[in-house]
Amino acid sequence: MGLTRHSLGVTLVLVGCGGDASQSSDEATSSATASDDAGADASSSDGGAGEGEVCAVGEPAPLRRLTATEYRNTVRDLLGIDASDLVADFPVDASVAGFANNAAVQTLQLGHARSYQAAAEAIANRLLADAERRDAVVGCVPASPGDDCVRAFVERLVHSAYRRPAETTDVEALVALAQSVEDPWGGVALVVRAVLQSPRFLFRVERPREPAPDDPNGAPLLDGHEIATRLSYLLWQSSPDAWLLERAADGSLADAEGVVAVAREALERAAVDDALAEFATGWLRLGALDDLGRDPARFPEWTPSLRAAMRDEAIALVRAGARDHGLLGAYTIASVWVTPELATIYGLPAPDGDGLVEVDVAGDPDRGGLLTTAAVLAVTTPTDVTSPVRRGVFVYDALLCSPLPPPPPGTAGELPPPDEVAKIDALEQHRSDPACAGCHDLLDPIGLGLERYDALGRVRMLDEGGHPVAEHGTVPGLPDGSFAGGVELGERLRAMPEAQRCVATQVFRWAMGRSETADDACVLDQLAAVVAETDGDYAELVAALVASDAFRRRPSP
Amino acid sequence: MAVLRRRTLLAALGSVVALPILEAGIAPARAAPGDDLRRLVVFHFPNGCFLPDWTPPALGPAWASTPILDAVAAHRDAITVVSGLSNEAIAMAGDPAVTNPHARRFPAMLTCAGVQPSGAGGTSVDQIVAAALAGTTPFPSLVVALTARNDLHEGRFSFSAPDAPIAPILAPEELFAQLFADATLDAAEQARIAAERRSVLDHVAADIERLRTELGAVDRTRLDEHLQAVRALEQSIQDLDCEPPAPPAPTSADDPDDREARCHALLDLVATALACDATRVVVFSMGATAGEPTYPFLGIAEGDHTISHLPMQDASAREKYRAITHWKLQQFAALLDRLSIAEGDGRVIDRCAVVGLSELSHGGSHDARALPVLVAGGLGGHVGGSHVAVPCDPSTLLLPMADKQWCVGTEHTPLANLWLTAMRALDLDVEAFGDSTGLVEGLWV
Repeated sequence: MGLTRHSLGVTLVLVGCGGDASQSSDEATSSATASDDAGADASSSDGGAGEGEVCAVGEPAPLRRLTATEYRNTVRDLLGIDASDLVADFPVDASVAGFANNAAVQTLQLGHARSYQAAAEAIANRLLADAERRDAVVGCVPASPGDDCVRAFVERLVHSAYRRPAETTDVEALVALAQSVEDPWGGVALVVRAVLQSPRFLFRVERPREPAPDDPNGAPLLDGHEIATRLSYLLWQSSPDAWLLERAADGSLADAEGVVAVAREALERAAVDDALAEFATGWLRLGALDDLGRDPARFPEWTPSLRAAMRDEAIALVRAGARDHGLLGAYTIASVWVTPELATIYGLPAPDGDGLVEVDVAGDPDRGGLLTTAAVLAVTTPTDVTSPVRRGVFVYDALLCSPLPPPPPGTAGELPPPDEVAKIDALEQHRSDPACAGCHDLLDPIGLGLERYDALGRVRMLDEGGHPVAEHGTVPGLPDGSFAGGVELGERLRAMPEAQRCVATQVFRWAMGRSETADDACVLDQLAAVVAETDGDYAELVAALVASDAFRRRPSP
Repeated sequence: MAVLRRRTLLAALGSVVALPILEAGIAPARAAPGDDLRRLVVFHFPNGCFLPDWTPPALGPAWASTPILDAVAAHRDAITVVSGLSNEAIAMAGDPAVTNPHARRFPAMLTCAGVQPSGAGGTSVDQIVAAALAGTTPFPSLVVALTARNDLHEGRFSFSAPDAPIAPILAPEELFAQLFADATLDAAEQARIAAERRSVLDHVAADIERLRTELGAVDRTRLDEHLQAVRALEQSIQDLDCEPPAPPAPTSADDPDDREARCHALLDLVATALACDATRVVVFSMGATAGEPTYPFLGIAEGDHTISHLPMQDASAREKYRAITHWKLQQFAALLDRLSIAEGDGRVIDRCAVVGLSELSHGGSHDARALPVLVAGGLGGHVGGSHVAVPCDPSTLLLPMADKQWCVGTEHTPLANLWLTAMRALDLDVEAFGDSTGLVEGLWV
């Protein structure tokens, strides 16, 4: 299996911060060049991604397994059963660069099989225990094991659960399973259990095939059902509904124009909130909120409900960006979303009610946009003491997609306690060491500009050591890189081509369930152009992505 | 969810009190184990320790207690302190795209392979052993953690293949359910459930095999893993020849004051699973590398990882690091207590190779040279009590001369040598593992 590098698309000039990542500079140069070439004409979203330019298709993700969220949503949509409590016990998927849907590590192991077995049994029990729900789902009353009623149910269930018309072999095997017990309903339960543990349900199967003889692209097109499945999990985090299965069967998804048209209609038909929540969680590393411990004596405000509010706000911000401002617009939206607890952190009056309420903060230099959210400021502070270095690392990793190399061996690089030496002085001192300066000249000036926010994201004048916090930070390499606070940092970043391309890259990683490869530079250029032109309008980004060969094709192994 | 059958032996004796029941809710061990019964138990504690507070000053028998090893001093005769093993070379050999120093070392702890962006770079020793023992027990292995992180590199330590991380079981309730959930049902009900599960799993296995023929090589690998998991699940539908323990008392993962009780509940279940021969391979982790659980119950406010990074020249910082490591080692002692229950003429631990270690030596330096390692258990003729050192290069250790006199040599000995030797003690026919260069002499025969 190909192990792809994460350090593609490094278009910043990382002078002196080569280290172990120096090997990636060739790739970086080539992708930067491609970016210049692809440029402006690649942004049309009506399927004409780059007239005349055929992008290579990167090595596809291996079989994608349903994530816990996808499993829960799919069971809800297929059977009307709430499986939230069951998926809570699933083995937690490891995240790669923040995303928990990276297929490279989505293996299916004993722990998964055990959880799927337990969940399938519980779901079948819940279905049969609710006569109304059962009759609605099954559609008839079986008189004997595996009779015509059961057979008809099997055909419908398999069609929706395997996301393609039922094959005779599958139907016969499931009917036979239903006949293995005396109770007709018991047989139905076994069918549900078997379907929910089938690889055709748990994995998103895409079959290898030969490219059409007259097709200039070497990578064969996916069939309608495979594309419908990619679309529905991308947009809804669930399986295709009846409408989308019809589009899969009637040829609507045969070309890029058709896929884009269906995707646009799909965006109108149902909310994409679930999908955006998953995307935001991966992009902004919100899962790390769960790892945070805080000294209760110093941070009595740190409660599970505050943690949840932080996460919910970051998701609300990304959703608002996707809906109204573009994903890039989320860097500078002049709103916060607060619960009473979070309002306290932001120094705002408590809103009415307990839920998340949007509050306009236009004109506030410290609040508004991604870089001012308590979630981002907290996940970049794993300890109780804010680290300008870690906040800088987050910007390079998550927002510029330009991860810096690890510190060289033997340099733990620990700062002295902040009450002994001011962080700003300690950082300056370590930058005087040439071994550190290469990277820390890039990291520290960004992070120092966020020192005005504490470990929970509160605005402060003095840091943990009682020293005044830096008033300004700098984004290295920009002519006007100086910024005061997270609002201005968001403004600086959103204008950077690297940040625009990074938004495209993050959406690509999440949508495709894999890290980008060198072959993907071309399609990423096209997506980056859409971001640049539309501020990352979600519908336009989705349209450009689903029109791409990367989305509609799968190279044969 | 193994199906248990009440012990026929107990029924014949007519009384449960006929067998000694140890404290802490551990079920009595099985009577006479076969000679081939060999177990691997790995105990991990995160973020290293301050070696001068760990290492006994002298080599040789009857290691002298130290501020940290004081926690396991009651088991001194069972424990060999092994100094000088290094995993640094292989940590440095990982893919440079993985930049975080913790991420380069944690996945290497049990794989001794260079980390990769999509995984560990190798299969971990516990899973190699589990695969070799496949089919002998209902559970090929138990991978359990007290606290966790979900990151591929900083939150996973067991890998059944280089890119197949195993998510640890975290909750005592979940571990109990997996091991003993059906034990309370009557025999007829258990038999019905078992039969239904077998027919569903047979169907699924046939389904996987049919689909497998339609896919390409990479995707087939995924289906092979699925099939293997389903087969293992079928295997686990078998009787356990022992009495299930009481369900664990409720504890909260979010309440630090519950952490020790939660740890003991997990250790109880792990020990019971070993005693019942539900599994022969256990990895128990106290938590992920770079994790930040706090220690209000020790009067310490900072998180674990933060403490490892405090400057050790500061006496109070050193005391904090010492105190949290001491507490972690107390849990190792609690594990050894639980493994000391009777089995046949001896104890469960007699047939275990037990290794306790951290992924780092001094967490604050992100250094995997001269790792803190303890070996216990009677498997392979291991006898504890002494402090031994493997060949070691003192010039690279960031310690004062007085604190590294045990380190003699010109090259470090790879940690992989320990795992290779342990696998030999477990009777596995392996020639090499990770970056191994040979065997560690004198631990197991």
